[in-house]
Amino acid sequence: MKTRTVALVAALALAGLVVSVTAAWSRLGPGLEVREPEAGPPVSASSGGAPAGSGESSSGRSRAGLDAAQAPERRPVRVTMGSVEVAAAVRPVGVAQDGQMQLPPDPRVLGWYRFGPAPGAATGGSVVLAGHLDSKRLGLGPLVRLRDLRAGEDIEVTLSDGTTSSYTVVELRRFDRQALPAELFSRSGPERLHVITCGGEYLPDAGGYQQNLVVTAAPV
Amino acid sequence: MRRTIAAVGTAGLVALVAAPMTPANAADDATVSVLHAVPGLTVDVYANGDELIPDFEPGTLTDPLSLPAGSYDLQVFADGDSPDSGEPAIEANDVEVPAGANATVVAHLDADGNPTLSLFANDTAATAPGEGRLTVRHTAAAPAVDVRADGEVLFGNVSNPDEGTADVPAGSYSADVVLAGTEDVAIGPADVSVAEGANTIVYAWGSAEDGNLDLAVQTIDGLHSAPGGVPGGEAGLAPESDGAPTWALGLGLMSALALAFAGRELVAARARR
Repeated sequence: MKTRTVALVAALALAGLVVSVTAAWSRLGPGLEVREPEAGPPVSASSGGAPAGSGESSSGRSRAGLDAAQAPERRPVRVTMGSVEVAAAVRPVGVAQDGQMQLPPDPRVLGWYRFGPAPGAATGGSVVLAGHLDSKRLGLGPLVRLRDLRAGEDIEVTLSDGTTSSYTVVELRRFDRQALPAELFSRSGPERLHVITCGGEYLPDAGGYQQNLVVTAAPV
Repeated sequence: MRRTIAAVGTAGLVALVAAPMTPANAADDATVSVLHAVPGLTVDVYANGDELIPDFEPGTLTDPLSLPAGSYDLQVFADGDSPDSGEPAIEANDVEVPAGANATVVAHLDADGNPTLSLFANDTAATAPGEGRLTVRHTAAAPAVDVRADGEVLFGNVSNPDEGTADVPAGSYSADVVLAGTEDVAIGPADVSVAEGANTIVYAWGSAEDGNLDLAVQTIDGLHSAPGGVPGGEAGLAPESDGAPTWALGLGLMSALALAFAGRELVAARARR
């Protein structure tokens, strides 16, 4: 065999190795970890003012009437993820009977956890969007492509007031379904967007999908 | 609807007082809010002889104050009076504020219409996801009442200065207060919004005789907990294998073989020269 042919085979083989290792790493390797310590939830709304005995006049006060004004509602209505061509409607959801986050039955619609912050909230914390991967009646939803999202890609969330919040993907993580960290639902600290669906193996006799796939994105 | 009802009155105050005492230092502060619920009287509040809250108007709630745990002598003077110049309108001595407690001191009328001070311990235990805590405190010069939410009795036979508390699904409730065991509405109906992950504390205050019964609201948030999980799909149409994709493993194996083969050929070719 000619040396040039052998060299070509070697080069191709090397390229193949690189591609396969990269592919395996992107699936198996640790995501791009950009984590910041989350502050625990404050137990009281705020504390301040002069301690007793200082003689200083005390902190603020307010009328304690029942007619406290509600802030105008500002909620996500649509989300797009450019490179993986996910574009989905978003509607507010709460908690299901079993204590899990409620999800729209239609896998083409994402739920926004309405008890947590909305994008751009003054409190910071985690904006949580989640959706079914598939449904027996409606088949696969767009979130099947979430697993192909990579760090650095863009996610845009349109809000009910017509504004848009932009995020950049920081990392993809997988958690066993029983072990989803509570910090994904943090209501304070730096703002994050978490898009959650399911993943992993599908074991019909063990509750279906075994994992949650969590995309974490930070505001641009 | 999950519901935990506890009626806590003077017994509750005693329990708070009986909590273990520790030396006062910054780490052992208590969080104390003060509500003025005596109609018609602007006051100055003094703690251990020092002015704590000047020009305090009825129906007003202070922001939470961080106070060193310990024993307090509380005095409420009509606006302008002071310990040097007059007698307190209300007085409570040796009020124990335990470290780490979250409490509300309420200046209010007792059932007979006399001004008094009560210390209520605020329940700041975590709430279940999707739920909020509703607490109703009877601090009005009025007989025992039933507190109803959406027409159903939520707390029955609550007397001044007792309270009822329950964890309920977050949302808005049409609440009213009726004389215990009757349909005679004393206050309301009013829409009360129970926020998720917060203790919404409603005070009935004022005097039935003077016709100035009213509601005051205090909210303590940050009690929320995360949902138990996020359900996934249901059809199993797109499972992921646990390990690396099969094609990557195959390509890797073939590449390694080809590399080994090429290496052997190169070595052989060099040896032939």
